[in-house]
Amino acid sequence: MSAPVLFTASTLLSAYQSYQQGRAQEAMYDVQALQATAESERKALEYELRANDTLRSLRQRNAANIARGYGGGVVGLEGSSKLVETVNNREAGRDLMFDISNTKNAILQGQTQSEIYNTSADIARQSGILDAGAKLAMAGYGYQQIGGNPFGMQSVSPYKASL
Amino acid sequence: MAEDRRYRSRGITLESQGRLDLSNIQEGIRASQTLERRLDQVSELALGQMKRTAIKEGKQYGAQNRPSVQQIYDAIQSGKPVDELLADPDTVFGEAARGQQAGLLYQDLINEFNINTQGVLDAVNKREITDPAEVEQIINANIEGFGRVMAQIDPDYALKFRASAATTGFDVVDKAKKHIQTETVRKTRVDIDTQLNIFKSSYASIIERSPNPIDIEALTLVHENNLKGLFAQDPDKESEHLANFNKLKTEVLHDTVANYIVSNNMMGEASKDNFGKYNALLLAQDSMNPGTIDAIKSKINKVYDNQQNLITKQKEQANAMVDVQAAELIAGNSNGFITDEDLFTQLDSIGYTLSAKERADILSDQQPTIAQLDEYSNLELKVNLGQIGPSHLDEARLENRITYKQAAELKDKYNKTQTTLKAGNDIIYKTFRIDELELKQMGRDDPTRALIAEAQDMLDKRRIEVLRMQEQDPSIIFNQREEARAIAEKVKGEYIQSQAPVVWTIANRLLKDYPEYYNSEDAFLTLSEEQVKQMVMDNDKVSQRNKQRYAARIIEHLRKLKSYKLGVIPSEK
Repeated sequence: MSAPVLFTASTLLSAYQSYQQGRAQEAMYDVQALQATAESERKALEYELRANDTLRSLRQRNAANIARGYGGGVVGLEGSSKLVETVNNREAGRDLMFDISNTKNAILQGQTQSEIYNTSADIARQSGILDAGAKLAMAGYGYQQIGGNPFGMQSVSPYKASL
Repeated sequence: MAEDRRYRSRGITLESQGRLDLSNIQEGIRASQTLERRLDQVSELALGQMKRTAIKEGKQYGAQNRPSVQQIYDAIQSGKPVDELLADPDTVFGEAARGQQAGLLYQDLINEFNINTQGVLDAVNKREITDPAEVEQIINANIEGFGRVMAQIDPDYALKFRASAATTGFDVVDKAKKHIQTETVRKTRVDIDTQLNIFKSSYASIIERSPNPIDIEALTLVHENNLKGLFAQDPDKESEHLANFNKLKTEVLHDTVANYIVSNNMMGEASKDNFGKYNALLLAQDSMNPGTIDAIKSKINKVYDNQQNLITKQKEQANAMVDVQAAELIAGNSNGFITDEDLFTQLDSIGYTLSAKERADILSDQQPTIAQLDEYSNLELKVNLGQIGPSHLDEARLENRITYKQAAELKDKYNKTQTTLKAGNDIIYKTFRIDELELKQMGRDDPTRALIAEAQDMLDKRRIEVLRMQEQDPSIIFNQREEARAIAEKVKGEYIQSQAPVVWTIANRLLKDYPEYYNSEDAFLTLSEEQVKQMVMDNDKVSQRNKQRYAARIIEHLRKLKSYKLGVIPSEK
């Protein structure tokens, strides 16, 4: 294989490698974006389940409270029973609201991270293309600077090689 | 158990959602860095190319715009900064140009230095410089001077120059020292010879005037000490000089005493060990060197014999002169220029005695026979060619092959041919490929002139030598043509043999930049003068202003060498 052919082949391969590297990086970021979305949704679901649990616990407590009021001869929906219920509702409401916020935050965070990864993927792809282009340009310039015999293979020099 | 009716808060609060992975920023930075790196590489590539172009152009500029050594000297002498003549080294272009200029100037200075050192060696060879310290001083001054100039141009090249010049300089100083030493010894030996000759005559005079051993010692002490001091300046041959000196003293003593005894006719006294005024001196000498008296007696006999021989020879020479004059007179008579009566009168007046038969032959009118005329022609040719002498002519006359008058004529011819060396001298001129007129136009120092004079002198000496030999054996012939040819060829051959290697050695030194001709005399001789000029013009190591001088020197030696190879001595005109 002649040197110019070897040079061209290795330059093209190197440029292609840079391009492929960019594409691989892009693919990796795409996967990471999907992972981030999945993870945030998993976390949002956990918060949702906990919020449901809070609601269920509140209903049980309030039912018990009413039952006890009526059982003690007190109107279950008035007086201390009502006070207990009010306090329960406030406490549970706070827990519930936090978990709802957590769910929203998890979704938002997942979306944001996913967007970031998508952007990274774009940059990686573009960087790969630019690097490959720069390599090709450099090789072309370098090859041009080597120069050659403008008269082809036939020597026009009158001098014989003495060494 | 009753169920708790109170709801207790489970302590739920807003939970942190963890830190966002800002990979976009990191990726952006990473991409930016990659791109930056790549762009840096592109810039470096382009800058590298620009630098290479600048270096190439700088070198071209440096080669095309280099200042001459003379310009550098002028700048230094006028106090101008040398930097103004050279490229600014603060840029890539300037640095390359400066490097090129410095390299070329370095080469120029090395060439100039080599020419100067060669000049010093030439001056040593011509004896214009006779002190090794002076050689060292000149070489050091050259190294220092050129080194300073180079230092102002480029310190690295200055170091290189000093190293190279020091090596060459050392060789030159060493050669010069050896040459001067040889010359000094040679001069000392000439001085010794001269002083010994002076001492010889002075010592003879002292012995004659004051034949007292004590007086002689006192009068010669200073001279002797001076001579011994001179001998000590030639340590290799000091003992030989001393031995020669003692031998000379002995010879002078013996000669002086022997001459005194012989000239005062005291041989009889001397045989009885009475040497007159030299008695005391000889007794003293004999006591120191036993056998002195016997040696002197033997010397006296030799001197006496020589004196007698001399007297005999003088007589013979006088007779020979008479013979020559008589032959001329008889030849004149034979040709009718002198009458018989006048001839007899003149022969009487020069003391030449004629026998009765000779007288009858002269008075006889009988003409030579045809055979005698033929023989006469034959013998005349031989006389002219120097192949026969008077004894052969006498022989021919006695055998009646020629008449008495014919013999006298031929003898006269012989005498006239032999008294001039014109034929021989003509042959010497021919051998040196020159004629008398050209010889007169030659300079006093021309070697051909000196060589011709030497050959003529040798021919003359040879003639005298043969004449002496003829006294013993009259059949010996002096063939001046043959002798002249042999002598001239010998003188010329010896001179060429001694000079050609000297010329080649100098030429070879000038050829060291040309490997095709260096150490190859045959290859050098194939060169034409045009080729030499071209060769020097193409040599970048020789500065432009020295090229002509350098080529002229090579051509001068090429001409000489070619001339020697043709057997011709080149004229110094």
